[in-house]
Amino acid sequence: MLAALSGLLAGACAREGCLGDEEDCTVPSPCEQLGFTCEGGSAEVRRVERPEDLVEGLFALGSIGDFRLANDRVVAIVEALDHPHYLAPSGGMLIDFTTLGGPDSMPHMSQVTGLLPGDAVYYDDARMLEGDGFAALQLRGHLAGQPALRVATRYEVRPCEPGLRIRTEIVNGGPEPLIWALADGFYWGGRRNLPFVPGEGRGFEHLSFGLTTVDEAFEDAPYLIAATYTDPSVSYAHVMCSAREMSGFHGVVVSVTGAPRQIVMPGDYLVSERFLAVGDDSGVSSAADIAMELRRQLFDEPFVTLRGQVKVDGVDPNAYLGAGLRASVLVSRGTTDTPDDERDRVTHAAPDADGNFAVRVRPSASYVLEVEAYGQRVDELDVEVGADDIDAGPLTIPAVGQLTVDVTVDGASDHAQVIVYPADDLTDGRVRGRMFKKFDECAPLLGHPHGGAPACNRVLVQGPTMFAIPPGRYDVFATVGPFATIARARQVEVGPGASVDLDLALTSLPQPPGTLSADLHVHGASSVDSAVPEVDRVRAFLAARVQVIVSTDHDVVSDYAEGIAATDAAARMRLITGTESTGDIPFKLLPDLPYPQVIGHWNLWPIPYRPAAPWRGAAWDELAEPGTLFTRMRDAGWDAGTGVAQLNHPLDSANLGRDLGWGRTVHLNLLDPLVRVFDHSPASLFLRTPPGARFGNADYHAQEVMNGTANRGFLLYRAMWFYLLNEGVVRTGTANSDSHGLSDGIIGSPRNLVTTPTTVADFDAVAFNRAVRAGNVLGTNGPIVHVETTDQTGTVRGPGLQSFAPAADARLHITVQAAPWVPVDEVRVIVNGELVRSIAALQHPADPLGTGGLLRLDTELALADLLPASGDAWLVVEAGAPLVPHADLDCDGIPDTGDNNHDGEVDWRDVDGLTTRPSGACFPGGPLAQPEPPTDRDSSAYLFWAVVAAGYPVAFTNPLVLDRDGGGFQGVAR
Amino acid sequence: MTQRLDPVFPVLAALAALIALGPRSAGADPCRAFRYGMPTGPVLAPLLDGGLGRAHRVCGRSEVAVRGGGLLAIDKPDFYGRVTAGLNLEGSYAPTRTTEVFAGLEALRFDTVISSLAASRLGLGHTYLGAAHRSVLGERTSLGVNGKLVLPTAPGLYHNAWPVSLDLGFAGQFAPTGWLHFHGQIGLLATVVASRVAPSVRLGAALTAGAEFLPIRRLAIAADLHTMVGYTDVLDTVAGAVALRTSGLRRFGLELAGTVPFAGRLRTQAAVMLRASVYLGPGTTPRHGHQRRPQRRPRR
Repeated sequence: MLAALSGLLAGACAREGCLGDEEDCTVPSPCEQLGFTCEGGSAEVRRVERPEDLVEGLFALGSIGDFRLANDRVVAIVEALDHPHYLAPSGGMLIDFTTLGGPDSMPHMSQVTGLLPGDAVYYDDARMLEGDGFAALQLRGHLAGQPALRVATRYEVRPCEPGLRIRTEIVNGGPEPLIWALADGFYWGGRRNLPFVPGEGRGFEHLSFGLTTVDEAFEDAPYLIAATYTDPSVSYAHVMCSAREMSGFHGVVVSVTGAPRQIVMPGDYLVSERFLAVGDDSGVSSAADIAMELRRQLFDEPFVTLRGQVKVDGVDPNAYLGAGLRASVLVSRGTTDTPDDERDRVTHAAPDADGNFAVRVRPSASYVLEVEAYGQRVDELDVEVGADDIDAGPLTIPAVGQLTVDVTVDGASDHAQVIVYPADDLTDGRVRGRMFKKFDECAPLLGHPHGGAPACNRVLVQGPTMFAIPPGRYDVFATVGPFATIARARQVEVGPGASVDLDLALTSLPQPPGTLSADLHVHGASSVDSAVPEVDRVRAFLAARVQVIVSTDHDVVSDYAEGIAATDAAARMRLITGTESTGDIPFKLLPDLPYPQVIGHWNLWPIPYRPAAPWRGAAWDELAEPGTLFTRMRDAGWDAGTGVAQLNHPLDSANLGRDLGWGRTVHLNLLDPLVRVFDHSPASLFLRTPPGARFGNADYHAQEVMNGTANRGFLLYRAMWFYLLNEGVVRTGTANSDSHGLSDGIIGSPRNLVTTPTTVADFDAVAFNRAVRAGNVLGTNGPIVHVETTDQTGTVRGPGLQSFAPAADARLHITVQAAPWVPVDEVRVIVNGELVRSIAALQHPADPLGTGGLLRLDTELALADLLPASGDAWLVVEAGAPLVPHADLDCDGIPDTGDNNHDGEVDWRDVDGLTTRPSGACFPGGPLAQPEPPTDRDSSAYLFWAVVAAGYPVAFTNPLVLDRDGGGFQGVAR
Repeated sequence: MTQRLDPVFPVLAALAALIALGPRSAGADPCRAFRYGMPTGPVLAPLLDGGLGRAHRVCGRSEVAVRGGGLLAIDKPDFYGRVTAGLNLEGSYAPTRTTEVFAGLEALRFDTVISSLAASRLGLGHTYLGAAHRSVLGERTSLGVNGKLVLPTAPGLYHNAWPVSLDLGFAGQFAPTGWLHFHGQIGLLATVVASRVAPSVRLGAALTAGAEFLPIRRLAIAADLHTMVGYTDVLDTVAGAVALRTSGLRRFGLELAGTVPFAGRLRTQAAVMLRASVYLGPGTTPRHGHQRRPQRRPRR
């Protein structure tokens, strides 16, 4: 009977695409309304077999085995099924996409129906199709973990077309009504592509959202544009063919756009057709113009061309028009009388070197043009557009100033970082700006905050270096890191059209002998959340005088070879290739946990860089506990025997539901003993060995104690490090910048001084890593702490993870040095996690800009006076600024609240949102205060804050591990 | 599934024949007890659209009713929630005492599904049409057959696929006393989905057994055990359903009911309903405890 019924229905219903799941089905060609013609067009689809089949560009991550779809205008690389990236559980997603011969700017695009892991599409079948006038790749699969929810997608190129046709079909073969937003998810990463959406009050502005508020951020729009405004780059336009409007939400990290959210009943299905176009430059208008043409063909929407010219009022001291953030034009429907949030944003143009621009707009409407220069709106113009192309006339921007800075170190021009601050509040108010009202504020805004130099208010120099600067009065600083003086030019007046030359001289200061200065956690443009050009990335290494860099791009291996080759880096530093494994796909670590999680971020090095391999030599790192991750990385080439696994920012809070720190993932309570036996509790995951893994989750070698130049997590991370030392989990503490560009963190600040016999000239990575694993590391952003004592044999012992029995009369010798510009106000001696001695009687240099007064403390203390009467112990010495007052109000042993109301006491009154005392002894606290930024521009504290952007001085030694009972060090807490 | 269900067909055919050809008692009839406003039959607080799979009353009647109800599904581990609420207009007509035709229209239906995203829809819901026939086997027992067609008259809820469902049930009623009536139904349910997807046919079977207790003439309590298999999973549900019923003196009836699954795929769901009805058929106003001995002859 069933067969008969099925046959009847089969005859009655015309099949469509692969909705019926037939073996040999073909997804129909999408966007049939479109048609482009040209001479000599072509279209091809094939497997990537050689590196030459791939595309170039900062963001390019395609690999051998992927699929290449190309025509005479564009090239798309679609991942092989077993090469998934980021949020997607399988390959088959768009990993690279650009113009023919152009640079890739596509981080990643995948098909999704929602935000949960089970809303992501999993492809398990791929088929290349070629026919008359098209080449296509057809993918079939289902929503992750739900085979009944079938999906098929067709990517297609046709000759002459400026992009990719895409059709996705999805069937609810399950028994439940489901909520789907059949969409493309773009993982912009946060510092790369800026989504631009036409609409009232929109453009680059989008409703903010979190995991629980994303529904409120959905908005309809005719299309989505994404542009990086970093060169070289392309831009993208995403236009629906199967509907006039698309629905989605947008931010600098992610955009999801496609069909509207809808309930899909069992047996029902959805189909979405769209066109993804590539604009040939980094701005919005090149892609938006294509979007207008697409909509003309799809929906008969006419357009006209609006031209204009940006002119300088006066004369720029150099040819800055057409570059950087000198001028951009935002085009909106409305008039100059229309309030900002009611202007209907249409497109955005970057004028050329002559100030000319041209954009496509709908005819017969009033438009207002807004010109932005260095984050400031400087002119507006009303334009009435009729039925024909129109020239809007000139828009005027004020002339800019120019600084030419040369930095010498010991008398010779060298790599250095120059940081510019307003010298007074008046200038600050005039020049503080945000690029297109996105990203962080900068004062002054000299360039894209996440692009190449100048970025935000920072410039990389090597020899006389010119850059444009808005007129004003500035303090200009130069630095090459903690082993040199800094230079400051105070109150530099730059007028409009004026050019000012500055020579800033630095003097090298001694680095402790036998050490290498290392940053073990840095990112470049191979990371999904970085856009810094590779050459500038390496120049930043050199400007910080870091001697060893471990490349730790998210999920991939990088070697910065292009940047190293373009500079003199090969003679001055060494690079070890590694990766930062970054959990993107939440999963249930334990069956009974109520929600899925990720395992935070882990650095692993060395891993060989393989330029055409998936993840560039790393392993796929999703859906795995740390022990499994280590195993996969070892199988991929990580040298587990001599290499390093580092737990990064271990208690960082989650971002969009993704745990950033393993300590948070497992709900580590630092007041409870570490769970030694796996009992299915989250905390017991910390020490367990996952099934099938060759490593335990705690088989890492190092943990970040300082992360980021602002050092915001120091109190948390040191608390966890101290806790684990007490528990006998002895790991090296490290200090890293985690820099993603030139403005978010300064390379080498903080850094590690690794005591090792190897040198830059004769570098032995194994020896270097051995020293890191052994804990022969000082973490610092300025102060240099030297600690030693003697063991029972009279041997001098310094910090390290190897335990020893101290001599009965052992003394602790502490010396603290620092460059004169580094304030050191306190030295702390910590034993078993408790502060046992605080030393504030330190010497201070007379001239923070001079070369004298390096030694701040040289003292000896009786070790017995510091240690408990008996038992094993560990000892760490810290130096720098006093710690800000803090407390743990929720009783998990992790500091969570600062003295936010400045009443000298940390209590419930400091907690955001609390107006009455909570009833229990423990309650959620926060926030944790950070040190107040100095306000006196002439103070020495301001000097440090200025060059270690927003940081405060800290250094910490690794522990002296004291085995006083002779039984080996097993911790001190049990 | 077809293989599993085929053996029951001869049994069902025999039941159908018995109902069609069985003896008809002229006077004695357990359904006489419900010739007033009191709602009767199995509890109706359905888990599936259009009341699919739920037992139909043996005792046909003419009435009109308004039913409001809702269904809540919470599957916390899978971050899934669903709320469906509807206002149904229902009517039935019994041209003879053994035959009934009935229909319902979900005049207003609200759906919201909540997962990582949420979407809602408000509009017309499903429509059903049905008919029932019974045979009176004695003063305490009656057997019936019923069928129902559920139509997807819900624009916006269905985009590209349109399910049409059919219920077929064999029902029985046994009244050992005037204040206690047992009822039950075994049935088949089927849905075919018309779309460009490969034809989708879903079959299941449902079994309902329960009782109505009438302690006083204005009040009744009904309780059912409802089981459904094969439709969405091997075991769709084992559910308990309870109704509190009350009646005006003659024609008005009110029922508050709920269904809570204990097991099966639908165990994350629960349904409630409130139904107000007006009995339009020939009436008696039975005194409690005397239902078995009617005071006057039925008109038909």
